[in-house]
Amino acid sequence: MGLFDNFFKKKEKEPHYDSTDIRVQDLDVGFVFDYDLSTWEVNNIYEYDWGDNYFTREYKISNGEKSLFLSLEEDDELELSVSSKIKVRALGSEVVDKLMTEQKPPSEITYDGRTYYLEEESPGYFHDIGRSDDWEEFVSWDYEDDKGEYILTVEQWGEKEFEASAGKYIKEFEISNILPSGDT
Amino acid sequence: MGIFSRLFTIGKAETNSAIDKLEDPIKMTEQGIRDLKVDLDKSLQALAEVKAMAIRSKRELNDHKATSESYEQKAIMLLQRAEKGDLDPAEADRLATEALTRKEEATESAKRSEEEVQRFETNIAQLDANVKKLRSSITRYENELRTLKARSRVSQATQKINKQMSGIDSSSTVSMLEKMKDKVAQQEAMAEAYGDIANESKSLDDEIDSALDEKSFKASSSLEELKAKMKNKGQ
Repeated sequence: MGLFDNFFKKKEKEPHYDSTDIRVQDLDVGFVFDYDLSTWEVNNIYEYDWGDNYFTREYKISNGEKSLFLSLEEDDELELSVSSKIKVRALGSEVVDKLMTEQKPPSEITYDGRTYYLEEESPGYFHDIGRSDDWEEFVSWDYEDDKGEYILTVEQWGEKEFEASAGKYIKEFEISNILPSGDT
Repeated sequence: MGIFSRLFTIGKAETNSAIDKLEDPIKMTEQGIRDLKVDLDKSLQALAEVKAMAIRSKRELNDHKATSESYEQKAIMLLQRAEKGDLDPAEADRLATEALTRKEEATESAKRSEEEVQRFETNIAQLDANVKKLRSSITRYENELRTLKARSRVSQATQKINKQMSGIDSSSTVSMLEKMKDKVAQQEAMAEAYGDIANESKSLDDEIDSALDEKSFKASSSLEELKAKMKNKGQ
């Protein structure tokens, strides 16, 4: 390279990640990565505000066959979980009934042959980064199995709307080959 | 060596040392790595794009497969209804044929999507290999640069210590003397050079002055007058 090439070269915009080491925290819409022997694309990002300046992120990902949710929580260390939406009714009608009448969920839920125990109740705000700046209020009840490997979440949105998801914790190394998107 | 060429050599040396400072090998390598990273980033983005296209083709493939199965299922149901007598057999045949045509169309589309997926997979494998190569060379360069920086720091420190140990650091008497000598030599060279210039201009002025000198002009004209007088007397 000539002496003056450096001076006159147009300055390229630096990406927000290190190209040789892109991490899960760097994920953005359009990013692609490998997980569970399949390639996934990030379609959406959701942000959760749990109060006290504590935020978590969730990525809606798709591999062309199904969609999953990858949650990212950075407390003392990075905690990752992958889950998919399930029908609330699949948890048994008493779960929804109890929530509707008493505003209290059962302390344990059996789903798909696994027993989950209530871990915490957290009210929070939800925000779809791609769609709008509006934050929606909701309450989340988090359940875990006795080994703390599997998770189940029941959420209440508004008066009578309930959503549920089931999944498991994963290790950071299970997500590999993260590739950036040119649009960001 | 002539005085002017000596001065020119000094100037040249100064310029070179300035360029040497600009072309710091560590800075150059860092810039090189930055440039490579920009290239790597572009390759990664291209690879992500192809992978995303493959995912979309897979989704289309699944959709077409589902459509194809659904139309086949509909054709079977139509024929079953006709068998039961719930539907006119001719009408059932017409609708079933229509459903099977749609099924064929969906199967064709599925085949096309499958070919696309295959093609993308081949592209991905090629791009992946390139990206891995680029990424590993960047990592290697970065490691080498780190070693280079450490070595450079060690050698600089060693040089400093050695200088101090041998007493030739910049404040030592020897070094001061060397500097003085250099300065004197330079001053002498300058003086000599100015002297040359002065001599050259003096001789030229002399010529001009002498050419314009009134005394000599008068003397020569007196001589001409005398010559003319003698000539007249002689006649």
